[in-house]
Amino acid sequence: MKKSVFGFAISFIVLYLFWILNSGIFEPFYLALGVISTFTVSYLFHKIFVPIKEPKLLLRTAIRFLLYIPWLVYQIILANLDVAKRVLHPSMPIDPVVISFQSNLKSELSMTTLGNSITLTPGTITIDIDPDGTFYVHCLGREHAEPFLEDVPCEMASRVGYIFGEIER
Amino acid sequence: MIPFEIFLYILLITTSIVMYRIIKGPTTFDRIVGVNAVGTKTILFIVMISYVLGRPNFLDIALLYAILNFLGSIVISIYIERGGVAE
Amino acid sequence: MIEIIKSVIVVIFLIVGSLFLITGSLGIVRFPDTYSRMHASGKCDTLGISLILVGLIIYQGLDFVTVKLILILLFVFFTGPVAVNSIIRASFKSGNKMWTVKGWVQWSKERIE
Repeated sequence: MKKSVFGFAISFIVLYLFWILNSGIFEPFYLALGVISTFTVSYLFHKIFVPIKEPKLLLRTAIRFLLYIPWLVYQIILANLDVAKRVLHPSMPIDPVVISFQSNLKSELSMTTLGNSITLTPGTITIDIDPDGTFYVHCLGREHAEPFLEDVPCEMASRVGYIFGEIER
Repeated sequence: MIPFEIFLYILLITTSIVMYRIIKGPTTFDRIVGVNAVGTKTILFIVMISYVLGRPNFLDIALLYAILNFLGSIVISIYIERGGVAE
Repeated sequence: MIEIIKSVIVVIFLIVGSLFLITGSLGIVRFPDTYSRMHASGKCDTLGISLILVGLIIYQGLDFVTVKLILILLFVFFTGPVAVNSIIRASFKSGNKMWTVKGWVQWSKERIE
């Protein structure tokens, strides 16, 4: 199967499922309308919608991403407790600092994932990403900056790189 | 039966707390942060209203409002970044 | 009996989510500069909305309505950080000053520790 056909098929199936779940009506007229609009949208945008064209690679990435989510949720809960503690503390113990580090990631997809993960984890927000993989991160306290400066690539970058097969662990 | 009306009042309180930041400023970006936060609370407000009134159709509006809120933040920040409106 | 246990779980989810939302709003008001305000906005709002929507999903059971709730949850979860990123980058590039312990500093990419 050709690569573009695979991307088109995946986006068509996902978008048609989206249509059916959102409408909830199973009359032929509405189903046909769904086919027409889904076909148009997935024909125009399947290159953006499915960035990974190899079937095996897509499956592997999806599985690894699903395994990554529980760790991310745990980090988000830690982050919220941390921010809540700092907000509700009477003296507001914050010590902001901006750091930069090299992540060794290459594709835009993995850098976006890492940027979002950094924003959701304790005390850090991504400010900017350079095309060569340098991250600029705003930290709420100096202790939050340490995990990113210890080793290259840092733990989170190696986890994200492992999802997309760019860094072996 | 859960009294969802109470959560409507809680959301109103959080929104009015953020309103202080939107009115006070001091920079444009503080206001954008405030507007973004109010937008996310509005999504929840619509979802809660759909449960109070018992009309699930409102969830579509909530989904649409989530998309609008996201696009609004992105567009305003890109406009400020490239258009030079910042203080 | 099961109904009561389910209601209790749902109410716990809703109350914890509301507490996080209130904390996030207080953070937006209390923190000294735009960047640290964004920490409060980005993290607490995402978790607060997720918890409240998860509570409502448990309340609803398996249904077409649940699917819409899950869609809203996924959308907020994936786009919240992106919106915060774009705002903070605009703020950083247009030279908005940052609060540190030593005073107000204007950062640029060349001056980072």
